Amino acid sequence: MKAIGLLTLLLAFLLPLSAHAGLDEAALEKFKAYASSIDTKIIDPMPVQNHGRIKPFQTYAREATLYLTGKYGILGLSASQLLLAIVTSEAAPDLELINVRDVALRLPLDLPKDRKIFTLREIESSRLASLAGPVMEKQKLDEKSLNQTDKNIIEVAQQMWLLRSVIQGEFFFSAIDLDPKPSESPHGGKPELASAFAAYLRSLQMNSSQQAKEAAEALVAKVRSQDVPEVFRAYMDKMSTEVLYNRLHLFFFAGLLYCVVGLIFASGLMSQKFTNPLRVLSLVLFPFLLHVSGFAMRVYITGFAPVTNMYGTMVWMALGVVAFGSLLYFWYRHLFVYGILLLGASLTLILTESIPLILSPDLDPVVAVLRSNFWLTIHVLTVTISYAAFTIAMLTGNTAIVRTLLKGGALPQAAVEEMAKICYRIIQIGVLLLTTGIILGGWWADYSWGRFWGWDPKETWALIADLGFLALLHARYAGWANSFVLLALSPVAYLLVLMAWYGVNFILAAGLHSYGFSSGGTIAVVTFVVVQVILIALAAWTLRGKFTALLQRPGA
Amino acid sequence: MKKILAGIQQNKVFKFASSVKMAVLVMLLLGAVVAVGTIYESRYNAQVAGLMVYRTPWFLALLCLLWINIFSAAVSRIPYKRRHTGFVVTHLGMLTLLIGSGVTYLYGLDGQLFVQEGSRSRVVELTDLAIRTARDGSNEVHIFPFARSLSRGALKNDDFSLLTGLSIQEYLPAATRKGEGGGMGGSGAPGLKVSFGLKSQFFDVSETLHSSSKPEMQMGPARIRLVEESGAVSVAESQKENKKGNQREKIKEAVAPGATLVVLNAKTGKIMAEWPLSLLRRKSQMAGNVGIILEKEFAKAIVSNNHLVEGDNPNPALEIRLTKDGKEAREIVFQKHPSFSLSPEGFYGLRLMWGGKGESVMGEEAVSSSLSTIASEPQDRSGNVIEFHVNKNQLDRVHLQLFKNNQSVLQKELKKGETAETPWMGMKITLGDLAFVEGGGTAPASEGEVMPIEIPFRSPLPRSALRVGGQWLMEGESRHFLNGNENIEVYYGLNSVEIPFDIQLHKFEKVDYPGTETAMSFQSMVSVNDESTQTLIRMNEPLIRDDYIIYQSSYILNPNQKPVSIFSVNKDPGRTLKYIGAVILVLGIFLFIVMRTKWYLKRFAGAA
Repeated sequence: MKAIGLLTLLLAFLLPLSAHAGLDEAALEKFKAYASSIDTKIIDPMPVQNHGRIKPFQTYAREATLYLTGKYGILGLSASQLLLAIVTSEAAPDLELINVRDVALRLPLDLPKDRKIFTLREIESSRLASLAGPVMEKQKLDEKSLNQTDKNIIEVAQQMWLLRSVIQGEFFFSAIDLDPKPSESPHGGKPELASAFAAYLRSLQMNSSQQAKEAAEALVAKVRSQDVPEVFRAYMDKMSTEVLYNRLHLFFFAGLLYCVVGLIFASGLMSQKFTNPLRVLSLVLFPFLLHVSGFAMRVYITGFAPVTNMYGTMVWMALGVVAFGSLLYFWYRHLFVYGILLLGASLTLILTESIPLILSPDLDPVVAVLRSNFWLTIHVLTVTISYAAFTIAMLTGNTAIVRTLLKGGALPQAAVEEMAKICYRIIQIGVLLLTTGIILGGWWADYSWGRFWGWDPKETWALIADLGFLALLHARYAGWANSFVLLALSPVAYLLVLMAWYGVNFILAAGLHSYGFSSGGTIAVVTFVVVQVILIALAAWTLRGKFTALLQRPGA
Repeated sequence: MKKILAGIQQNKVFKFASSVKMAVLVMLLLGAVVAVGTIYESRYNAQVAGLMVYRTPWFLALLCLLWINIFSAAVSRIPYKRRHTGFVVTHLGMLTLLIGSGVTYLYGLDGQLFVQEGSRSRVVELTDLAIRTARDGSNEVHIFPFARSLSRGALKNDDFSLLTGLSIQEYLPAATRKGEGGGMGGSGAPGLKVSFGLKSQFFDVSETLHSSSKPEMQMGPARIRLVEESGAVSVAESQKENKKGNQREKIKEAVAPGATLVVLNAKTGKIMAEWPLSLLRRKSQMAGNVGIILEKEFAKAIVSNNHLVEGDNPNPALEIRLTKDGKEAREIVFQKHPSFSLSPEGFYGLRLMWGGKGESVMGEEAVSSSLSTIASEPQDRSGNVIEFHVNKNQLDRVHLQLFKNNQSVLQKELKKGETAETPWMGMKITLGDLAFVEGGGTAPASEGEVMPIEIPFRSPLPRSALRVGGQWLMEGESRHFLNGNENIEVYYGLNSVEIPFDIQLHKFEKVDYPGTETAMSFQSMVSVNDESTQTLIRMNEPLIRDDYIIYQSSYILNPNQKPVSIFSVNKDPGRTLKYIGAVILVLGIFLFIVMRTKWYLKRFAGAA
């Protein structure tokens, strides 16, 4: 409660700073009233064509609004309402819509420093044109020569163009043509579509909900009556599913519930009530079903396993953590570790959901090489689920380290043994899955490219991670690592997984697997690595006696 | 037996080799080494990573060490007990997998095949290097392959030296020719300067001629010469020339119906038969006991990848199949080059010639003679000669003249950037810059000097260079050497192998996602040899033929050119072993886990 109060106070302070520059209060209210009166129920599931697939208008609008403003909706409006109001309202150029994400750009652009979000008019009258010109030239010559500031400048320019094209209607006309021919001008090919759309826009301005409804229905019927290219046909029936998917935020709610359940388990509250394993698992069942149905919907909508970008992989990984975590709980009945794993999954899901600009949740199709569904599905799913297993090992290991540190190194040996068992078993499972995944990758590569193994950095690092955990298992057998050392080294080996999963694409940036990942997110990963390394170093220092003592084979 | 085994198991070296500690060390070492490999790959490229790490002998030795470790670990636990099942199966899988990889490494083939739409090829390019030599007038090519390396040094190849009398003096892993592809200035004495590109299946180079310091050079099969012409070419004259050109084409088109094929005895030169093409088109003919089949006719033949395809300039040609006693041979007959043959000795004792009566040859000769009056002074034109006739008042074109043994075989106006085909090994000439250099420097222009360079970051490996017989050869270049009276052509470049069949590319297609330029897929319609069945090769749908698998790998799309499809050709005799090993390995780990569960121990092991 305290926190919320503090937040409100903070917001109250912030408000005067974010006074609107373009529109006065009354005009803004008028725009908001107009926009929120638009009923998008009919238009939302209308199929439009964009980025190589057919998607509902709602998704299209959400993606554009996200790109412009950094959010899926602002001013209390949905993305569809916002964009439809923009194209039909005179106020559009004076609305604060363009989020300049690189705050350092405000100075060179000569923009007010008290805001992050600007109007089209402000951006157009800024120094953007003179800054962007040379950068564009540079980009034309060599895409790779651009630095981060250059890219940010281009992004602002693209936001400006996007908003302009929304205001001019271009944004809509180019998308409702479901079979664009490169030779045709964006809306020159299908005048009847353009006029249906224009009629719909006129009906919005007339402020009659009945007329708007009829015009929307006519427009949707017109759009749907087009000939659709073969590759798009499968999408056409899935529009309302996707609208539903957009609305439900299944992963977010699943993450929230995991968090609650995880906190209950890990805190040890009511632990006497959770002696029956079925009761424990039933608590997780509901969020798990939400999670699975969200994933299933993505599969249904795209027609391929949605692990082709970082977002999909994270969601799938979190699913694996919960699934394996439940299995481990069932085997070992360790409620505390189970709670920690649920918290880990929850953190993964909520984090993934909250940074759509970095981890793009879009469902757009993938590059040619990934279209072989079966092998992609099997190979990538197996490799990433093995990462889930290693994540569990890492979480268990860190739990052991932190608990030992908190108890000043005096964690009872029995507790260490219990966690080590879980850790050892899940590493075994991880190694089985990663080895299988690597081999399936070789199989797929052989099938697609004619070679089983090519020392591609991604596959090599997956092998290194595999070797790292294998070495750990063998070291345990050889007596080099006893229970505590196994737990303490799991997070170290997990750094190899991070390298294979994330580092190859962003640090090495080479090889055949460099598709399907958005840039950014580096800060999160670097933070994790730094914290992890500090934690291990701290443990190694304070518990060094434990390490050296344990290097001798116990009981031998 | 048991005794021997026990003896081995007690052996100290064996104990060390089979120890789990050894296994941990080898795994960590292997992990660290390949991690370094990925850094090489990200800093340079995959090829450099291979040369520095993955394909080095010491890396192979490390893998052998791993194998020995796993093997001795497996042996050390004999006699096996039930609880060893997972262990034995896992390690057996690993051993099999590694053997399979070794077989691939030693006997596998992995290369690239480039085929242009409408043509065919069987030449698979590898990444390693080779020197190829051929004597003048002989079709026999000797190949001396050697592994690419990244270190500078002397290479020795006794067979090569024995055959050619030349020695290999130095190898540069990455080199450039100073002044290569550079500007036109700073070349010494005043005079005309012409740069041009030459391309054949052996080489692809840029060269420069200079009228006073370097008017002539030898390149591949031909001598290339720069002839400076004086005086202005009037507009009228060049128009007249154009007219003649048109007229010439007309004559040729009109002539085709009357053409014949002449069969001569290769030794005596006596005419054995002459058939009109119209007859051959309908029915194959016999010359003695040799069957003559007209395979294909070309109006504008050019040579591409050792095969004739239709090009842009008129060049009538026939592709003939000769059969004798179940054997077959292929011969090409050009209208314009009567002495041309794929085999200097002829096939089955026969020589084939274009026989079209009258007009065609006469028409051409008439045109040739009138054109050749342009040539200024008499020159030695024996052998193959390419002449650039340049007028310094008209520095946007040359008059290209080709001679074979003093006979004009081709005359053509060539403008900057235009390409002409020669009848010699499919060599093409592309005209680069022309300039009149006023002089200034003193040193005579010479061929660019070859210099070692650093391997650049994140880009393909630069060309290597080899010094042979005192002369530098950049990768992809060839040179003529004189060994006594013998003219030897030496080519230095990528090693390649021929697969036992041709891939003929009928159509290449790239399909984009509608509304984008993102490739959804690309595919090639091909047929093997001359078989009538056409097969579609595309991503994940390779063509499997004998032991070879041909994958769609990439493509080259250039405006105004037919697309080139790039296939990766693969032969992997280790494949089966690798797959068997992989399956055993995964099964083993699975057993390993299951047989350690409480459930299993209670259910099965407890009972045992």
